[in-house]
Amino acid sequence: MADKPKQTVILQTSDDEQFTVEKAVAERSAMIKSMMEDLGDQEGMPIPLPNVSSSVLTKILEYCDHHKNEPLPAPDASDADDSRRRTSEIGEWDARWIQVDQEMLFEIILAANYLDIKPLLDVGCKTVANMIKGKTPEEIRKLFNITNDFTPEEEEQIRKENEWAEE
Amino acid sequence: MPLPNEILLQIVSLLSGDHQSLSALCRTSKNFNYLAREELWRHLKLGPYKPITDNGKGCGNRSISLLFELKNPEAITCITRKQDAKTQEAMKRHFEKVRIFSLREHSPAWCESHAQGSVSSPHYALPALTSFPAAVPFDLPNLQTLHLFATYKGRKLDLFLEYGHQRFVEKSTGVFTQVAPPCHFLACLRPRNMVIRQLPIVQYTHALATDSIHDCKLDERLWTGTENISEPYPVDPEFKLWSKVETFVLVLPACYAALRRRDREVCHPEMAPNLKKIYCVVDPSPAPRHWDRHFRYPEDFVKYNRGFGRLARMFPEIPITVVNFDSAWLYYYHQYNKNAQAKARRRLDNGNGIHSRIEVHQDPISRDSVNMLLLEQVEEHIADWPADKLKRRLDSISFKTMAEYRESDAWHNVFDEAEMERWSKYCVE
Repeated sequence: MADKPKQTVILQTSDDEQFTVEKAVAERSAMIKSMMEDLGDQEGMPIPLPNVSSSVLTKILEYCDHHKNEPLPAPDASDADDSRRRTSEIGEWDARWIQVDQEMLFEIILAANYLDIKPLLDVGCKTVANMIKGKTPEEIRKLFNITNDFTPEEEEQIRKENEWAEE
Repeated sequence: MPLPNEILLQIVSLLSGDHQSLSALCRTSKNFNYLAREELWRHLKLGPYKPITDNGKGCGNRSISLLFELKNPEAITCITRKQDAKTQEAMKRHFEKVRIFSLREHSPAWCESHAQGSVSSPHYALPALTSFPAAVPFDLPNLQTLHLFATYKGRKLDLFLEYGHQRFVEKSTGVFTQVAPPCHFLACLRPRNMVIRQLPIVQYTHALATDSIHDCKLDERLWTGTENISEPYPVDPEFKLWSKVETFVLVLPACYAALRRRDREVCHPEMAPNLKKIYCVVDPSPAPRHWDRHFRYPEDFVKYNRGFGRLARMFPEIPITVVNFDSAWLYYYHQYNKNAQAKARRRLDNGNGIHSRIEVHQDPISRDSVNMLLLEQVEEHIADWPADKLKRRLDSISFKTMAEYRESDAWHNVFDEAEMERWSKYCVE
């Protein structure tokens, strides 16, 4: 069976680009996997991904291809698995792969969430958590591109309540 | 494109234990305050010392004085000082979020200062807690775990007696006498898990103390002695700190000696009627190299844990799980094993002053044989028991590696993920 042709699936992104992808790679996404099961034998039918752009999908497929031979996480991972996954560090390859600008990073996280690729979502979240570490509130606002919606009094009140936590 | 709250929450949970970042997040925006404050208040940490952050490099060769950096010595007054009504109301709501409370340093003087004005110690000075305890009743209704850290007191052994102990009984007369003022921090607290531990640096300072009492026959009796354990223990009816404790966790290097002084017990079975399980977890954080000389020979480490036999005798029916004992022991063995030494130094130093205990597995001694040494100690302590009771006791002591503990035991409400992760780094399985 060694030269059995690789099974493929067609993915269609939000900007109407089509990607022909090896099934083992596409299966990294629990969402695509279940869609493939639903579609059954309808070969050649593209799977629409209206929430993912082609540039993000290209990047994510790179990740999926690199990890295609690893066992898939159980669909209903228990809490114990959850904590092990959360506390383990980002792998070397993943760390290099995820060195992208902030906008791309957030797009990857959103897509990983939509496509239901748990290990990728974890890598993304850990990367953002590491970016937050040691930053001031102002720097964090810049990172997430949010505005300060506190009145000065409110901000002072929170500072007072949480004062014990300051170094 | 903004991230949805569901994902932001996952990111916040990864910052568990990093209070600096969590408190910065809270001040970022209303939404982030809403997301991060649960995690921030989940673990309330108070104390004047900076926790030793080793950044994965261990304490290395840093001098001892650097490890005593003061951190926000007024943190405790931030919680307890008189606040306006609005803040008080907010604090009360925050107190409901607290699941873990770490009191890193405490002395009766803090509670006494109410009367006396101000507090000073060789290491820090505090303004008077004049409004305490009236400002906010210090009650943590949902508290799961209390971490008590030994007070640094040089060679003194009664490190924990000051915590919350209002009165002690005089064995001869049966009379309770007040030796410390009522502890306001602990008066209302009823934890399920009690963790007795020391700041890493104090662990090793205290090693010195246990070392020195080893040569002193009189004092040695205090922590290895078997006398009086089975006598009825007079329990102060007003002392309820231990009344709901189900799990008692001792973080080692040992502070058994600190658990007892003369006829005063920090914990006695009768104080803790609901106790179901004891853990002895060896903290694998690297010691400053300076202190290693106290563990020159393999026997030192076992000797240093001699109080374990007494603990096993004192709680005859409670199962004890010893976590990571062998890896720490083997580390010391390695440090002073001639053949391994040169290799270990090369490995451990790595040119960066990295000093860790990750040098366990090439050791010819099996972990079973190391653990056996601790069991022998127990056997020595209970040699006068009937054979079946003795066997039951030995059978109910189990050994686990840090990884096994991390995987199978309910530590999530006891330790921070960050701490567990840091510990795991120093334990190669």
